[in-house]
Amino acid sequence: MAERVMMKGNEAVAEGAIRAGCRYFFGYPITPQNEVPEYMSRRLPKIGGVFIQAESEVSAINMVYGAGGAGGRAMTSSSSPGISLKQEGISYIATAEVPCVIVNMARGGPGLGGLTPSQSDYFQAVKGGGHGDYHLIVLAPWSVQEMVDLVGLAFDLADKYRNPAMILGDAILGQMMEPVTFKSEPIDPKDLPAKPWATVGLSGERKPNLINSLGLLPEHLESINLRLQEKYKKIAENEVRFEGTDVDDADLVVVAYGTTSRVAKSAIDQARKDGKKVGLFRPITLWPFPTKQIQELAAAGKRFLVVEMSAGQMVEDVRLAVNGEASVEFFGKLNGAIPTVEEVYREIMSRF
Amino acid sequence: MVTPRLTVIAGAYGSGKTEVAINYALRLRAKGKNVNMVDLDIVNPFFRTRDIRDYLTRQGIQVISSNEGLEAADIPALSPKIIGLLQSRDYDGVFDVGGDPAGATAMGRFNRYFQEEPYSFWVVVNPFRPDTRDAEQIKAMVQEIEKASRLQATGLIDNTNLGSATTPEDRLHGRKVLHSAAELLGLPLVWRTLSNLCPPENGEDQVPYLPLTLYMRPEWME
Repeated sequence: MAERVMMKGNEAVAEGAIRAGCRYFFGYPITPQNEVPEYMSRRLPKIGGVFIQAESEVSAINMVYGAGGAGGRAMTSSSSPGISLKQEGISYIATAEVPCVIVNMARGGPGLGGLTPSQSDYFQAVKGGGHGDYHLIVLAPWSVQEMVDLVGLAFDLADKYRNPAMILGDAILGQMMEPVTFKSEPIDPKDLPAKPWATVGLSGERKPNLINSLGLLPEHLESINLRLQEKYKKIAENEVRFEGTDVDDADLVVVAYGTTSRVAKSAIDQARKDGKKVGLFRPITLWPFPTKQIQELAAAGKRFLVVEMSAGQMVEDVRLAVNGEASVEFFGKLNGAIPTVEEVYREIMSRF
Repeated sequence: MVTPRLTVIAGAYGSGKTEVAINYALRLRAKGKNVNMVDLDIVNPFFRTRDIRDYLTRQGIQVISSNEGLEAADIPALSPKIIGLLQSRDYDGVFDVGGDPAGATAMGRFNRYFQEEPYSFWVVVNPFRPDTRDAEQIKAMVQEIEKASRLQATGLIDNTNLGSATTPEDRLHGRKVLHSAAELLGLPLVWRTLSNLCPPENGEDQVPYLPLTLYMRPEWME
């Protein structure tokens, strides 16, 4: 029988990473994600891995750059202000095409903000975050089980495309506890596909591998950018993931991800009992965004209500997808509190 | 035997001790006791007793936690009211102690008051949590908490659950693990929790049920 255990989101993302073959973790403490490094610090040394609490977030992300460049499955985790500090390193990693996983258990901002859950790092996660034209693959779990499932996928996609991937959670997804099933056997890093590009030392049989993000000559920098954009196009074509519930016959489609999609699901279930034709569209990949699927829903005559714990960030991507062909309304919470089921239910009902 | 007025509820991180402490305090209150709840969880600012302070206050339970205004901060502050409670002896005190040895360390500061009168020190265990999966692990956890808090455990609480996915077979599995842990530690099994998320298992073993209403669980959790 598959192994079942009761876990917090933070513990689950750590255990999921280990089971996906991650053996290198570098981080710096920040609430509300401290259980991730704590879990890694207990487990990794016992299984031949490396855990380092770096002297800063800047240091931690550059250690990830190094370990990922040497071919290991490497991860770091932090929360909003800490992720901001890592942005320079993330831009370098994306440009150097080094696979790695970055976990953001987002908290309320801007500034030092608070410790409560928030979705106001959406722009930072999906639009680049650091400098230059680059993208992370961004996955948004909505349960503790998906912390496990999506962190495994994040490592696979990161390796497949040689691109950093991010798990975008929030304080409540990190802290809440739910049953988790580990469906597959843990991966032994030795069984992972070889990475012939990695800098693992030479024994004279090939040219040196080089990993950097420098493009001083204009033609060289342009070729790096063209290669990256070509790759992003391929990722956008192949890796969009989403989930639709009760969408087919719906007049109103609620678009939400992560925690707010859980709240929205409960509110939609209530509104359905009242006979309202409402459904849930939940992007699982925030980048690449399910633009085409939302376009199709708009073309089919549906209206949209976007629910976020932000002043309205993902709603911009929904509007871009809809391109003026349908009404897109927004309901957001800014005070660090999760919207209640009652609040979202009322927002839905007021639109019928 | 007279029930001691001081009850300490401890346990590994995420074992469910806050829900147990809240429900136990409400149970005492329903019996007409004057109850103070002490939120000693200085490890983690989420899912704490203080989150439902207003509700508990309306039920006639005074909640003592970090200094007011700092509830949402991760600042390990303890209220001077705790000493007041320990000295006055007019109240029953239920202590919700933070997870793991780090959280239990806060208890050490009040050690001398616990030397002066009897107390209950119950350790909440959910064998479906990582690191308390079997009797040996549970024993190690209890001993670490005892060492950090400088108090002696007086009983175990069986909080076996996998949330809404709990089956009666899971509960029976937990019961076995808890019995062998209790035997290994030489401690009684004082309560077995039962929430509306889990169906009760079959079979009697003399351990009383502590019915749980879950106050920390988000409404949108299935």
